[in-house]
Amino acid sequence: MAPEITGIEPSSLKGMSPDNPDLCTLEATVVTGLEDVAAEECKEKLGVTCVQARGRIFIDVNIADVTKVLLLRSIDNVNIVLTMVKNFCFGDQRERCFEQLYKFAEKQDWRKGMRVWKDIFSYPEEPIKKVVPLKNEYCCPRPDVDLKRMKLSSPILENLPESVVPEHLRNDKGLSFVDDSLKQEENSKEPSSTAAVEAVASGPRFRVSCSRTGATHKFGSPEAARQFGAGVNEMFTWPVDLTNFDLEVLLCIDKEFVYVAISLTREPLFKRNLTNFGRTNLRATICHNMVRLATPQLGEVVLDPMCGGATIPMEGSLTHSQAFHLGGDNYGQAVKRSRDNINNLLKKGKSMVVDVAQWDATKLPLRSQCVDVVVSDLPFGKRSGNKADNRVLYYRSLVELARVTKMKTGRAVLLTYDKGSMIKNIKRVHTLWKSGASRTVNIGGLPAVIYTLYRTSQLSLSDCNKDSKASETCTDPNLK
Amino acid sequence: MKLITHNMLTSKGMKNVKEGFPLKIQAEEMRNVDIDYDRDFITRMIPKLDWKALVFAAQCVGHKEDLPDTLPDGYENDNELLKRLHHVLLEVEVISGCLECPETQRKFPISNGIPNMLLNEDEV
Repeated sequence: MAPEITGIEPSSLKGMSPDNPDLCTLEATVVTGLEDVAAEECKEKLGVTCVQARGRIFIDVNIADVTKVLLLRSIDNVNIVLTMVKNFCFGDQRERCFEQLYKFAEKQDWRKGMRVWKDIFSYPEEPIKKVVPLKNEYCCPRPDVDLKRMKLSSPILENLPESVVPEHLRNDKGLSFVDDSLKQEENSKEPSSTAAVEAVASGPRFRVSCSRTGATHKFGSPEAARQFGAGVNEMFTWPVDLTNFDLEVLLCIDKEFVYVAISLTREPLFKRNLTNFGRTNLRATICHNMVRLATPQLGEVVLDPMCGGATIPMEGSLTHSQAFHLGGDNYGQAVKRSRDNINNLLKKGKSMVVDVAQWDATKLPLRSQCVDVVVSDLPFGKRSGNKADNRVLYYRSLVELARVTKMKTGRAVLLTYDKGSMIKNIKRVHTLWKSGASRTVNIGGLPAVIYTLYRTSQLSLSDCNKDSKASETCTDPNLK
Repeated sequence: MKLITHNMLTSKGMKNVKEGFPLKIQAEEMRNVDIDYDRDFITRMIPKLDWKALVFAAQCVGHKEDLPDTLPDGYENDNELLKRLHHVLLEVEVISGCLECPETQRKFPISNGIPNMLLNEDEV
């Protein structure tokens, strides 16, 4: 498993150093569990070794090569990292933290970051016109606005002084309604801060997005974003716009580990293939990573027996074009969606060696031993199918897949959340499929697992399992 | 449905069917798509194909002249043949029509480019 971000050593990433003006450090987010697959793609296509952390990889690249990173198929979002501090040493008082975050804006390598940003987004002019040194201590805090969305379960609720606890949580905390006089008292203690730049704000509209993890902080993420954002706003006179922004600055705080990055992807990179969505479509990046794990070779046949909207065969045919990708589903609506998705990509001029059929995955209308690789996202039993059906479905399709998949060289990469059904059935068909490594992957918050299986040299189940109670185990479809 | 797919499809899942291959194609509507020519891919796929079935399929859809009845030796060096094969295998698609089982004559409809191979309960 990839290490937590707090285990990263910032000095190992050379792209953040001002000594390397043409090198930059990019952060590419990856679905948790597939970081090593992304690192492998990066190594293969860019020749660069990445530093892996939970849910992301860090890549040091030449600034000229940043566009190449945006073409990788295994990553979701790309940001350029400006600074990374392993031990921020947050102060004990809220006001001290605000000051640290506000002044942190001056410690970033904006020139490098904005140079890359300007290029990627084709911004027509130089975004940094002048730099105004920060004069205030920090920005006037507004907990009444910033903590509106705080939940009762928030780990930092205990750390907030009474007067700051937001209105909607005061009852639960047994605090009395705050009357206006108290509010004014807190406000009058704040340092006078010049209203953010009366001069005409110009340049890219920006926002700061903060994500904060940790139980000891005395401030919420919107408060941190406000402080840092105020610093940026005063330094560059860029206008703040939380919804229609050109530039998104990311402030990431994980306990004492803090880093700042600029987003280089307005939309996540996985939004590339689908136009017709079903109930349970898999992200194109996860599809790519699964196909990559199966290592399809030149001239091989890659099968998805339960393809839904054909997300896996489509992505496979776009990135592994030297194999033939075949998908099928029993559900008419799904195959129709597949056809529409494929046609839409064909219209855009994509060349895709892919085809779709409608079939029963437990009775595939395919010749024996004609498939080399199976890659599939099995029904989880949550939104699609159910666990009782899964127990039978997984067994029957594993047996049928063994029939069509080449002995000895064939392999399967299967994703599911229903680990129980999968593990039981892998055991039942162990004479046909040998179990390889499995990995846990975060699919929309669910801890799903990708199982890798290898075909044995046995063609079919030769003996009925006499110990099993379920009657269908004695039905060997290969004896028909 | 591409002819490369047809080369793998059978009706053997039906009871009383011994081989169920190759299925006869009755094509109503066809179309051509553009697929990048990859010589290595075609050369590597050839040993996996059932050549007779492919020729049969090509005949069904009116591409009889494109492929020889038997695969000649040294096909890896015959560029013209490889290009024609690439076209017939990957670029020709059946949009509507049906596939017919050679033993039971059961018809599997193709609509919107997708063959429906689902069997009824009594056919299993």
